Amino acid sequence: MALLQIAEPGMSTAPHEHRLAVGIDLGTTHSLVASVRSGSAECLPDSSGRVILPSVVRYCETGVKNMGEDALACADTDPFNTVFSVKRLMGRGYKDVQGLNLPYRVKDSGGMVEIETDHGTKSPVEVSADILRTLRKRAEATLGGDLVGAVITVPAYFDEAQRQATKDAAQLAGLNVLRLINEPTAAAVAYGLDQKVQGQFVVFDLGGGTFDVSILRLQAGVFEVLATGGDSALGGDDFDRAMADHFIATHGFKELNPQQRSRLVMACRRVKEQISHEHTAFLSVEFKSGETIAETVTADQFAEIVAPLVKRTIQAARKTLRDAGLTIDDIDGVVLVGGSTRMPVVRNAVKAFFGKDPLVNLNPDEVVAIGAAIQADTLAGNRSEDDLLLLDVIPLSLGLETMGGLTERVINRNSTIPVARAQEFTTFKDGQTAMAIHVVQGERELVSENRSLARFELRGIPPMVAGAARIRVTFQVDADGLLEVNAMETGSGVSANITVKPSYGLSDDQITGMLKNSFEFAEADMNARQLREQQVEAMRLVESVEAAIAKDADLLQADEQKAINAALKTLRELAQSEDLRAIEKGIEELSQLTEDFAARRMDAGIRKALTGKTLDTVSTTLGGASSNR
Amino acid sequence: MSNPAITLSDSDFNIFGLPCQFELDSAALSASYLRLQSQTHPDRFANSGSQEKRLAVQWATRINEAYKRLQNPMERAIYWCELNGENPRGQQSKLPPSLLMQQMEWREALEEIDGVGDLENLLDEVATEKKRCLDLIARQIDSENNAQAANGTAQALLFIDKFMIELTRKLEQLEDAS
Repeated sequence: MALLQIAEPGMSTAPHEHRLAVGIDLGTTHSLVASVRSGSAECLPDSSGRVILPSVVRYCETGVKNMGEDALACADTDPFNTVFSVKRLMGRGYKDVQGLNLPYRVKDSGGMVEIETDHGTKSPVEVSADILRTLRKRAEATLGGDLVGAVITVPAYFDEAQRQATKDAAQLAGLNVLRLINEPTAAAVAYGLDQKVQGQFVVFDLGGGTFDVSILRLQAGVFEVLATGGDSALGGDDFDRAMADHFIATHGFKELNPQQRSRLVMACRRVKEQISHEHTAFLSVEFKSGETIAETVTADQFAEIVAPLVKRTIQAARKTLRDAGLTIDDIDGVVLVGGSTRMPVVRNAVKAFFGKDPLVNLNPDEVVAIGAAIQADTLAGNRSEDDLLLLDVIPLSLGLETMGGLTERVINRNSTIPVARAQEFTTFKDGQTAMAIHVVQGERELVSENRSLARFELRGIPPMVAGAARIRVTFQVDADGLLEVNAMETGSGVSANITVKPSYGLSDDQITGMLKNSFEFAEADMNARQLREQQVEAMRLVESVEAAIAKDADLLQADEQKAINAALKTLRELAQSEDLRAIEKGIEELSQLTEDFAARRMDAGIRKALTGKTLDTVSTTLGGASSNR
Repeated sequence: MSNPAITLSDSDFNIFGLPCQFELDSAALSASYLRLQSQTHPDRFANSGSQEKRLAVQWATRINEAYKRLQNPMERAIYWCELNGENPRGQQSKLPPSLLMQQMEWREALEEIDGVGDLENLLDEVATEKKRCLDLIARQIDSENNAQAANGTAQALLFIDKFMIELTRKLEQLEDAS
């Protein structure tokens, strides 16, 4: 009897196997995970059938973690250890988060803030990783296997530090990030593919803690973001707080403690939700100290309290429309995303501004995760390659500090990514041998009003008179929206470069430390993990080269193909071995051997694009005699 | 493989298979852009080796750069000047006195503006002048093939464009304040 073969998870090499990939909406108030199963994307429920995981983690003194609903239930009684809205702390320094009035203990630690709990200090990245890990496990249990990767959504308006923090959290949660994509873009994918629409669309995304507005052009499966804008610190939470502040003021309460405040805000949230489908709601809070609030809130009253917030969203929409070079008449449809767009006061304002009824046919809570799942399925290689392409933009300008604390923009906001641009600078003093490079993000003239991303120094510039050196600084933003900066003195060739690790980010050492500390990897050998990663990487390369040969063998000479085939065979065998160095070397060798082939394939692809014919139409023409089409 | 390969250092026009001129079929440009990105975008190489991924990032970046430049008539004209040995962004030659006069008038008008309506009118006026310069440069490039003359017009365009950015910023401030 033949023995059953058991493939190691993630190592299976069956060519047409469906690769498990998920889309994750890591939200301020709640998070979801979705996946494409038998052709359609759906959100995955937990064992109780709930798809929504509240983005809340409670850290008990004993080390027990409560997640989601279980944690949320403790927000009232254990406010110090129940962490919610952590997305607002991602990649943020202490100064940035003043005014958020969070009931738990946020402390200044120089860079990114930290949260003090009874079970030690937690970075917002760790808290987010706990949420992501819960979703990863849910997905693995539901789908029945290891994930090849995930697409994680971020607000379009997230800056470098916030994106990097999100990516770090995913790594910590044991997820391979296929791509970070912007939430409104994900929503557009879900709508666009579902409805087969063409034209120019506005995605108005008001979530729990962030507000994004994006304008996209949809045609023939390509989603082209024309402009994006919004406010990374405006969301449904602010509506709750505005209401709470209103009642604190009208009732003349002096100072509420964090527990009382948290209760009042929660009560206001319930009133907000009720008012979304009824004309009035009753707000009733009784504090232990004896003070009470008990009154009826009308929809009109609510609208008045939150009017300044609604106005901010419409102003951002107007500005984004202008950035896209469009007018209201050019817009074919408006898509509403995010739970907060359920508020009639928001819907009415959107309708009044754009002069048309917004589209709401998809569940606003789920639409982002659904879109991310579709993109994950594409990137994992499960879909035919011609049916979906996202062309996204960077939300904020990137630049450098120049003399006098002024910002010199290098890449403008709303540039399509990937994007690169070089700019030349020179020295200020005679004999200057070093130059400080300060990378900033934002639209303001003054560096101090923009976000500081990173600082580094270019040293070893040959001494010259002031103004003679030519320092070329190159910015490259990849398809995830992450930045790499390179500086070089062009005369001498002295160079320095960094992948920007934002000032408010975590260092690689910190991440490694967290990985080691996290429960999951406490016992695991880091080397074994590294070996496993390289084995998977080797097989990924083998499969990709084989697929390339199957498609474009005509671009190879016979002897080239022979050499490549030999290297493929070697690497395939090495991938089964335990020799990390040998595997790395094998990957390197195959990569080098296929360099020319890759370049030729790219060239062929470009020619194909320029002639405007796909290979399919060519072969249809050739085989036309036997085809009825 | 008889034609030489298209490389990253080819001109924007070459990369898009377009004639090196000002006049441009923008629908064809957009269509080519989408087809090119469909071939080169890093998302198409999510499962490929690092070599191919790097190549994809380089190409997608180059195509975005070229598309952005060709799409914008002023940038396209400046780029044509640069390909023809001029440098409109470099040393400012003398701007025509008529433009300087006009510029002063606009500045005065800007001082006296109150309200979004006024500002929008001024913006319209400046946009009309920009359009006139673009028509002129189109002739200088496509009919006269006169790089030097085009260079002068390109410098005027840069001047006008800067002023328009200033006006738009002001408009945003007024709108935000209202």
